Amino acid sequence: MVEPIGDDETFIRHVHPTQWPPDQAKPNSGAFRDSELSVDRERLRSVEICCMLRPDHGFMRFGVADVLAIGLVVEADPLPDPAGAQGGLLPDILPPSLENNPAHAIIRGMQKSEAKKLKDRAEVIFRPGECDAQHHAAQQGGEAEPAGGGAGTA
Amino acid sequence: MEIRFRLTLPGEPSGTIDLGRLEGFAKAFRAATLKSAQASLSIPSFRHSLGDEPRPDYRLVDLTDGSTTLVLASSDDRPVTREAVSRHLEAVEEYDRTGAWPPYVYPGELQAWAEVYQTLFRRSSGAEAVVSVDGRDRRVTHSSVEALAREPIRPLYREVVLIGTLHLIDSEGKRRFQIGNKDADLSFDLGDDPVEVIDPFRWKRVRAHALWEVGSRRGILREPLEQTEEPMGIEVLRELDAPDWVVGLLERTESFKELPAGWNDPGSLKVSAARVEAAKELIRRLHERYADAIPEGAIPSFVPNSSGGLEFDWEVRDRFLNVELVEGGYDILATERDRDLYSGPANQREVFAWIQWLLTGESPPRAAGPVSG
Repeated sequence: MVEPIGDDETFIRHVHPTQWPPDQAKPNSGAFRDSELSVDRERLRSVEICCMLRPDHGFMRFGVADVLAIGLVVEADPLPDPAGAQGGLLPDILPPSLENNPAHAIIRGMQKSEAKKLKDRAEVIFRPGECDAQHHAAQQGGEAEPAGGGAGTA
Repeated sequence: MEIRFRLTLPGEPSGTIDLGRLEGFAKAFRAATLKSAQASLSIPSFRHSLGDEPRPDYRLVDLTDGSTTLVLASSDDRPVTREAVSRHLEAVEEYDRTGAWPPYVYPGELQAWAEVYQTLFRRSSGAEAVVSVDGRDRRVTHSSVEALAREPIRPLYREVVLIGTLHLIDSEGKRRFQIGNKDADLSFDLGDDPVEVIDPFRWKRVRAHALWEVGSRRGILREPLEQTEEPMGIEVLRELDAPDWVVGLLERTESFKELPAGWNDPGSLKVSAARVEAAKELIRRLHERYADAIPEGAIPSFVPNSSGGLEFDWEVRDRFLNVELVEGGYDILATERDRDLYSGPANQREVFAWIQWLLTGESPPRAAGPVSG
């Protein structure tokens, strides 16, 4: 059963390091533009898990309400597809991966203008490389907080 | 697309044109349209080709009676085919109005168009052409051609290494030699050197470490020629007098060639080498034309996108511009205070006009924004 996406949820967008110019506060708006933009529902997958899976990436957070306000459509798209051949394997008890991702959702209808608006509304959680730094700090007993405050629950 | 050159050639019989003049015109026209098409797609002028695009092609379809009029027709209606002819006409119009050449145009491009008109006008100071593209007339006079030929007052150079075959030595006319490969070709002045200095390299593969005059096919050797077995190619080594930010952007952009297909997600496309080269050329051109106007900390930086394109966001105060290199041209978004001004395809001239708007706040070039999702 796919949980419907609530208006009060937040999404996490993984940003490839090449799409985040090193001297800029936020990534390029192109990082938010795709005919089907992949995001993670933060309620179902924390930024720590995202970091573990893609330690070199940057991570941005924005609200479902922001996406809807821009006039876009959101859709839960858990991986693997629950209706598909692998769907009965209870993804919740499998180790988290990019392929096993019950938190996966997509945003449809994104063009340049919408991507720019979403970039403006989104907040930075980690810039590229900061995940790695946090991971190392945690291993050495130090603390490193995500830029946007605490992460959501898995 | 139809292009008419309606010529006034004092002292010439009307309705005819001698074959030598026509032959010179055809050759110069082909060279100039290629240069303008390359500039339009941000492809360095030492290349033979237009990257992934076919070269524009034109045919002579009529030579009318009365005043001598050459009528050409393009064999396709791509934007780049139109731009290859329109750019210099827009530039001449702006020069006549303001006394300055617009920032998008390259010096070598202007010189190439000067040659086109020089083949038609020869030395006749009363000669002129009314050039009509899609029914819009523009007048090119003898003094316009002199202005075209004068540029650049101070050439811009980039340091290159060209590995190619020394395939031409002209010891009689302009005293020059040419080195080329399948992608690029440069011409070097022989100066006062005797031909014997380079003759041993004739039809050999050589390494030419040179300064390339931007926008042209001219080069100046920095070191003596060497015979080599290195693979053929051309590489821009560095910008002369370029600040660190330009060098950094060029290196970062070059690195995108290494991204494999699927670099961002399973469907993301590889960025083509031609597009990387076009992006680098645009960065260089922005620096050449706008170095003094770019505010500190507001540097545009290309990034790859999943469609195999390259794009940058550029914000100055409350103005925002996204420029994406796409097949056959550019796609842009311009916004001001979160209001969309324009979203859609653009040519290189329009990109530069929007950059002018971004940097200065002058009135935007096109107020009506068509398509935005």
